[in-house]
Amino acid sequence: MLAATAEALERGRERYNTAFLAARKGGAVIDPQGFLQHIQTVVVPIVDAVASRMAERAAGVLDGLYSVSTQLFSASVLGSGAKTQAVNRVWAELLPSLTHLLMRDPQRLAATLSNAAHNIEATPEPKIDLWIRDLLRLAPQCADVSDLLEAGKIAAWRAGMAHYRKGALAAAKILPPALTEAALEAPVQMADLWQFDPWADPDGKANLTIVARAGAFRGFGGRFIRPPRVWSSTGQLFASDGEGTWQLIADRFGCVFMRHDVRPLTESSKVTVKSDGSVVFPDQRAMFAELASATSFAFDGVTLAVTIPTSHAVYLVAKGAADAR
Amino acid sequence: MFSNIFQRISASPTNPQAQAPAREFDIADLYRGPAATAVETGTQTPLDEKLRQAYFWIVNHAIISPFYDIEYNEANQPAQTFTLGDGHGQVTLPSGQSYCSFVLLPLLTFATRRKCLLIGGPGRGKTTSAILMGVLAGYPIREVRRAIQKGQPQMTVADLLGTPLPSDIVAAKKVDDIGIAWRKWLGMRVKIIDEYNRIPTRTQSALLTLMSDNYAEVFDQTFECPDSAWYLTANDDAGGGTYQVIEALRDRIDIVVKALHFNSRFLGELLERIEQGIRPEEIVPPQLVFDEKELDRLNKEVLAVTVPSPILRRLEFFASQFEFCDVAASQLEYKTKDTAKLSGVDWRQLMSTETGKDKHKDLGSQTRNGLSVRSLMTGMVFMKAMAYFRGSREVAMEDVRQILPFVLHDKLAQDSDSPFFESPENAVYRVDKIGWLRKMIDLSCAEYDRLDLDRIDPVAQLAAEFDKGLDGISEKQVRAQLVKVERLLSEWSGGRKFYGHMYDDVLKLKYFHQRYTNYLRWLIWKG
Repeated sequence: MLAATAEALERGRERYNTAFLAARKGGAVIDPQGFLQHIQTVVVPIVDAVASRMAERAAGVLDGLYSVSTQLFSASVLGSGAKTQAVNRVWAELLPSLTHLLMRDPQRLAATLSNAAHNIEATPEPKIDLWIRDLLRLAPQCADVSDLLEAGKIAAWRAGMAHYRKGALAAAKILPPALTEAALEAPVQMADLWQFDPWADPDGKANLTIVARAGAFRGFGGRFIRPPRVWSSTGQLFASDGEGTWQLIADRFGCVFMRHDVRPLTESSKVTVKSDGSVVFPDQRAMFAELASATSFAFDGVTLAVTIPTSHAVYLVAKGAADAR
Repeated sequence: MFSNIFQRISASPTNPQAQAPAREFDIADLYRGPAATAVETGTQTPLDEKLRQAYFWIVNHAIISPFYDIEYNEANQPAQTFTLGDGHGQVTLPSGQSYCSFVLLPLLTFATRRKCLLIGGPGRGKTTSAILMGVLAGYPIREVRRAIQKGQPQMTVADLLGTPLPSDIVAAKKVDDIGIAWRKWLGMRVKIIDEYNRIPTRTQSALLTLMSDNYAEVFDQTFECPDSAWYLTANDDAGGGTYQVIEALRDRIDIVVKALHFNSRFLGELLERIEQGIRPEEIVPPQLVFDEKELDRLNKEVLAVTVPSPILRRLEFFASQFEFCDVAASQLEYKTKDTAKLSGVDWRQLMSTETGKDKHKDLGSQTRNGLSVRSLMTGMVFMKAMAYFRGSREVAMEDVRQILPFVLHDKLAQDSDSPFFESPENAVYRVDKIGWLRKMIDLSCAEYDRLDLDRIDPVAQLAAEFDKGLDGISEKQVRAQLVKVERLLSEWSGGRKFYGHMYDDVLKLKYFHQRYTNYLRWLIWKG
């Protein structure tokens, strides 16, 4: 432990102890030993890393990280008692690489990234690994905390949070072009294309293909208890297995199912699927044998969703391709 | 088991509504979660949502009051009802989000800055509820406790308001020179009076000035108090106690809330609190505290909630049922229960006079008084608050039905001798005032529907014509309006029973007639 860190701990000892007791008095069940271990093995090394660059920032960073740690322990999302490991991974893998940004706004950075990891992990379809990997890659190029957080939005979308596509593409417009390209791993112009065509391929592929299979049997970790049916309404896709209803949002970076309470009105489809599996778009047609005897299909203007009696997945057909991540 | 209990705030939305066909997703939600960010510690939560979060925190963690006596049902999903016991008591399972009056009404009082009387036996959480409101207003718990005014027989005006500075008394040449050490609680936005019915009558008069005019006066010095929410406690609302509560003071109370009994099935929670030394009023989450600006804005937002015309009309109809007393006078304007009361004539004797009206049907026969302007205004404010709390920007009839009984609880005096209460199914309303008031609202609405007043309301039609203004109306048009009024009255006078709701209509017709008559005279004079 560096001297600056030790000094910050000593000066803040009474304050930290009071905050810890207040959290426990408020009803939070925090294992004192686990918390202490977290401070010693996770927080202190981060503060040391900050102190080695700028000793005078150590106290501020320690304050911020301690406060956020208390909140996350209270919510049982950090530490050995955490329900999932996503937030632990942020503290173990991500924050130690962000010392140059932690110095500026430790509380905000630690809190937002922890919350994001928690939210990504809580959504079954996206992949937290991809998000962490992208942030680690992008962090050195971020001049400030705001840049990293905006880049984090793009990374979350690309990790499979398809429902955040619009927000992520809006973030892409805010960032410097070089950072945007790095975040998208594609030319900046693709951001404009993806606004309207979520399957647009940077390589220019535009043939009708089965771009994704979304959903699975509940017993295998998916959503559906029985093969679902799909429909569209107000330009959105919906799926139901008879028990639950979900809005299906999909693009080249992933698919998510968001729980829905109301069964919307069905709209007629401009695209059809014939019994032999041939798909007829206004300007293209293609044959997909696996889509023969489709039980339902729906089109949202860009993506065709198709269900078959022998699968719990929803087949998505579009012009373009899914990202090969 | 109690992981993060007391600091956990109900996740938004606290009153989820049926979703539109497609949801929009805000990417800002990506960064919201169990850890507070620097942005979230600001005042981003809408105030109605914050109020709901405060409600759910109190009801889940602070006051153990697992009751849902303010019941709402989803459209097309009626409540389920089960009858229990020989007394045919009913338990209702509402299909919509429902609330506990003991927690909700003090919160609505907090939002509207009105005066709430909490009644109930000792140790039922009345003072705790009031203290929580003080903490929600941002005052430290210690300050709230010290600021509570505890009614006791020796309480003087000086104890309540403040004392003159001794040095000033000696040195002053005139009264104006005497400085007053005002009591600190006068400047607070939440004021708590514990056991107000133990305050001596003389001191009650000083309290009345405070509550009615919002200022304190000692030795000709005045202290203007800020707008605040008041919480008074008493063991009952009968106005008795160590000292009789003066009627004017009782009348200043806007809403009466009963502390409900403790459900013994929740004894385990009490035990946990004892063992962990938890006092909820000491651990109110800071995110639920309203600062002064938020309190002002909250009040404004509540008052901005609209009352749609059809709802207002039904409220008018309901309110019009009670004041009329046909036998109280010969002059129409004096035919009120107030006239009867002021005359000192025996009420029963007066009411026994036959008027030909069906006393089972006549809602007016069930009360000894009518509704005052103050109670109507209070009722409308609380209806707005109820709608606002539920996330709506306009009052619905169910808001009226649920909240008005609490406002009118001690404003409408029941005439328990009315034949209405003789029926076996209505006898319980002699005791259950809230139920009685709600029943009256329902009966009033039923009568309103039977008369089809939404469609056929000649007085409303005349009112609409009158509201266009008198300027530019010709003599011929004025005479036509006068004929309309006279014809309508003639039609009504043809054998119809004169019920309470007609009384205000007749007076309004007279009003129109008089206004048109005066205008006609002016037109003729003008030539």
